[in-house]
Amino acid sequence: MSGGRMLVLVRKELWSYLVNPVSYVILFLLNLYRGADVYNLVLGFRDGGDADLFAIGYLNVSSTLTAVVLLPPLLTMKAFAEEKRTGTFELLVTAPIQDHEIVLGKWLASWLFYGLLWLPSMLVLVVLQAPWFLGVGLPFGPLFTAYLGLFLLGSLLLAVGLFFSSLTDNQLLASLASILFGVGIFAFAPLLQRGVVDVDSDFLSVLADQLLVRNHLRLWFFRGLIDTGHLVFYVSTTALLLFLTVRSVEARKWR
Amino acid sequence: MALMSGSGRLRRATAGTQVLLTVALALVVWGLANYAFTRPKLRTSLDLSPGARFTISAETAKLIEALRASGATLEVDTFLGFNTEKDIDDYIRMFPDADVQKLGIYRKLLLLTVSFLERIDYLGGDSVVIRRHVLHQDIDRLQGSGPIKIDSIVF
Repeated sequence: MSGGRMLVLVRKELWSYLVNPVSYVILFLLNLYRGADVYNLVLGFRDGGDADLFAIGYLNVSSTLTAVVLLPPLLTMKAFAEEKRTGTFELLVTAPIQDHEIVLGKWLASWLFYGLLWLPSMLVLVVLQAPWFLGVGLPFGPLFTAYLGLFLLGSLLLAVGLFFSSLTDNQLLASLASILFGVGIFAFAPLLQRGVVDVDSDFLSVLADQLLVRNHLRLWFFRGLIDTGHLVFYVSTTALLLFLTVRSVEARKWR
Repeated sequence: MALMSGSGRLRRATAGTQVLLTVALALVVWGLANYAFTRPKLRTSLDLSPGARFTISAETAKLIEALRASGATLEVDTFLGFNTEKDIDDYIRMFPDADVQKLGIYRKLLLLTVSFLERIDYLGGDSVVIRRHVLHQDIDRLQGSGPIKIDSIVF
């Protein structure tokens, strides 16, 4: 029954993404930006490249990493902030639906739309393999794990975006905080790790290693490797952030 | 009225404390789960690359296990002309006359070498120290190490 209510919310949220023209602008810009990198890859491949390396490098480009940091905040900044600003938040939280269903529903809808944004890049792969184009069979393994890594990191950053959106009624502030978090986890996690090495604590060192998301993508997922430790990190961190978001939404009851 | 506002404050303080406690508990669970599932006994990896090219042989894995058990440290210094595959791609783009075929082979060798070292580093834990140097920047150190020894590989 509760799953049914959540699905209604997912459908509503997903529909709001699909009818929003901004979504299509994001889709266009993402693929335009990635197109330049793919074009370079194709040129490199035609100069005597290797299909295995092409598959490993297909998502391992700067445009992918930029997109994975920028997309989630853009998709989630409105989630709660807009509802609070327009006053529909009170309607939502007084509707016969639990707070955790609201959070999960919004997160699931944004995750599905995030997946849709990457769909054209998968279709490009089909075109690239066509006999009239590169005419080469690309290995499935590295491509599968690369998309898995992107979706796992995306799910984490979407949860971050939802959390920040639940804290404020200002979309800009929510998106800025999420972007800073995304940039921080990419750029400053290695510095944190180096700092922790000096502390000489095994526990902290392991946690600092777990935060190296850039390494997870570049050295593992993009190469066709899956590590259960990394899977646990993405699933547990996403769950933690969604839990914090539920707490934040519930906070209205005791304010 | 004063009583109501006092009870409201108490209710808020209690709820706030409960939230803080549950958040702290969630953070502890997160930390412990991440720590536990990165222990060698609970951790496993899957290699879906073509020909499982990033998986090292069982013999090498055993060797690294023995190294860890012995408490010794293996230190590896690498001096590479190009540090990443992207450096090679940039070089080809900057110098169109470059020997693309030779650089293509180098690119593959670089990926395999670096991946192999990263794998050893990952499995070796504290028993393995890999230091990567840029050949043209750390040339003094390379020259200072004297003649190239049998355990040194220079690409």
